[in-house]
Amino acid sequence: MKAALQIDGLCGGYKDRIIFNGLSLTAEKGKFTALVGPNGSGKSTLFRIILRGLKSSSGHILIDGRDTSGMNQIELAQLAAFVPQYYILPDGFSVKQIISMTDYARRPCSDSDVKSALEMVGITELENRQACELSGGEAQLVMLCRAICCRTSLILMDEPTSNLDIKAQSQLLRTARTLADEGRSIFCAIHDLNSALQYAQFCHVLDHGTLVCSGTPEQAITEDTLRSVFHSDARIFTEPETGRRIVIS
Amino acid sequence: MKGTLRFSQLIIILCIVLCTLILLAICIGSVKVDLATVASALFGKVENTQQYIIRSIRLPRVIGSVLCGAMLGLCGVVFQAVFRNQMADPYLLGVSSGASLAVAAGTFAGITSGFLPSIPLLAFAGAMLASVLVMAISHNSQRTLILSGVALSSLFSAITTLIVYLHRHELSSVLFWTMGSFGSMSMNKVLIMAAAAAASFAIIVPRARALDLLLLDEGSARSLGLNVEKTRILMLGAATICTAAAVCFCGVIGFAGLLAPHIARALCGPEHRKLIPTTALVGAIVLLAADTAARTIAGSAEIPVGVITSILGAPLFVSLASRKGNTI
Repeated sequence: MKAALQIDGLCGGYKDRIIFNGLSLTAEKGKFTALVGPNGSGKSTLFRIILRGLKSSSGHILIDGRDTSGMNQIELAQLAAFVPQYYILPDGFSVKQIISMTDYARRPCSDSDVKSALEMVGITELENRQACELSGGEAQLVMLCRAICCRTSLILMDEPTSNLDIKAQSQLLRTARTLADEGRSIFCAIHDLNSALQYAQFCHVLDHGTLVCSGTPEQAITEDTLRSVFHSDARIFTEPETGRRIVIS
Repeated sequence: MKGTLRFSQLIIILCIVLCTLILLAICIGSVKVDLATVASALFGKVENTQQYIIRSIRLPRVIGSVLCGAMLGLCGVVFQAVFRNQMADPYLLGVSSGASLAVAAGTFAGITSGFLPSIPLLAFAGAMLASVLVMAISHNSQRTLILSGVALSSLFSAITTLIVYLHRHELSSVLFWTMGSFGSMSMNKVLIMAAAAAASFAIIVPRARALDLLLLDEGSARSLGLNVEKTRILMLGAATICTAAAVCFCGVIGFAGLLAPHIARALCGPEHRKLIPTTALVGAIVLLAADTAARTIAGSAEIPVGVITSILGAPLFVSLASRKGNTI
């Protein structure tokens, strides 16, 4: 079975600083794959390279088994949607108008498409609100709606919960997990390790542009990883009632 | 009006207003003419002075100001999207002044004599140079873009004024370059402007959605399918051609590219599919009204049209600049 996202021997980064020197990883189809790592480990840079904001010097990026190097931006947009960490919501546009912008690379986005995405995320009341007046949490949920409306099998998410309160965080990640359970593939950079443990089905740990370990969240996020990658003496406990693993610093 | 008026109704109303204003502008002036004379001058042979005035002076001037208004409005919309700054306009970015300086310098160096199309070419070179300079000086930063543009515009205007002043005895009519005027419009000039406008509109209009996407963060725009760099360059090129063609025959007209998009946004909302045609019509109406006022309110004397647009546009600029969150 082809992977939703496959990165092979990726080299690249910024003009004055190489971040990746042969990075290889995969995200399976229909799974919520988390990408964790400390600040500066290259998580956001990886998304920039996938979306062509930065050029790679060598290596391959395959989405649904198709090499993206020969594709134009529209073909790429038809394969992968994106939820950014930092976003701009321009003045005067309603939430509906922001979501409808997905029609640039694909068929027109109908009113019912917008409504069903808003319903799935649970923010139908925001449809006609001015996008620039939304709170940070609401805006990030709108970004997820826009990604849902793209109808791509792969959704990339770059630390979508980093500025959100606990309720908005769980609302967003729960929806992302539901999408994965329904067959979409989620590849999500997450800062909060407890969120990765709770929602992800697979996890990659990145440090200085290198893949340190991969596996189920329980296998990848261990006290050893916390010490060697995050330089933290945080402990991991198992909640007796649910059996869930929790990182406590 | 946004909620109650359908877009098609809005366009029809604006077209009616523009057509009425065109007829009014042709009829009024130092020599007043009636509608019957206008009709006979437009569709029949030129037999008297009034018909000559209409055919050779008023009509080119009116069409010129309509075209110029639509073009500057469109340029404002494009610059505002490309630079993600609602205060961007060809005048405030220094693009108009760059075009004007190139034309003034070229005229006095004798480059443009006898060959009309050389004027827009020079203007385009000047406008392009100004666009590149303003991006380089501001390091493409939102924060310093308008300040850099205003500084550059002041410098270009000062040099233009100096050139005009030094050669004031040779060609007094060139004073219009500093404040704008449609006094020297001719049908040949109108045709060149119309060709440039058609080319720019043909590039910009089909890419209305791309302009919407340029307003988003770069990651979002790319993920929705936009080739950000290519679109920016294409749109800047088209807007620069458009600015150059608008400015080269009628001088620098301040704030026209700021006024029209903001009035249009209040009428039809921010989506470029609606904003582009609405801005073109509003720009045409505003500049035609301003020019008609410029040549009639002071009796036989003519006020530069840029004075009127600046009186209208400067308060809008101040209100935008003082709005929370806006960057100069």
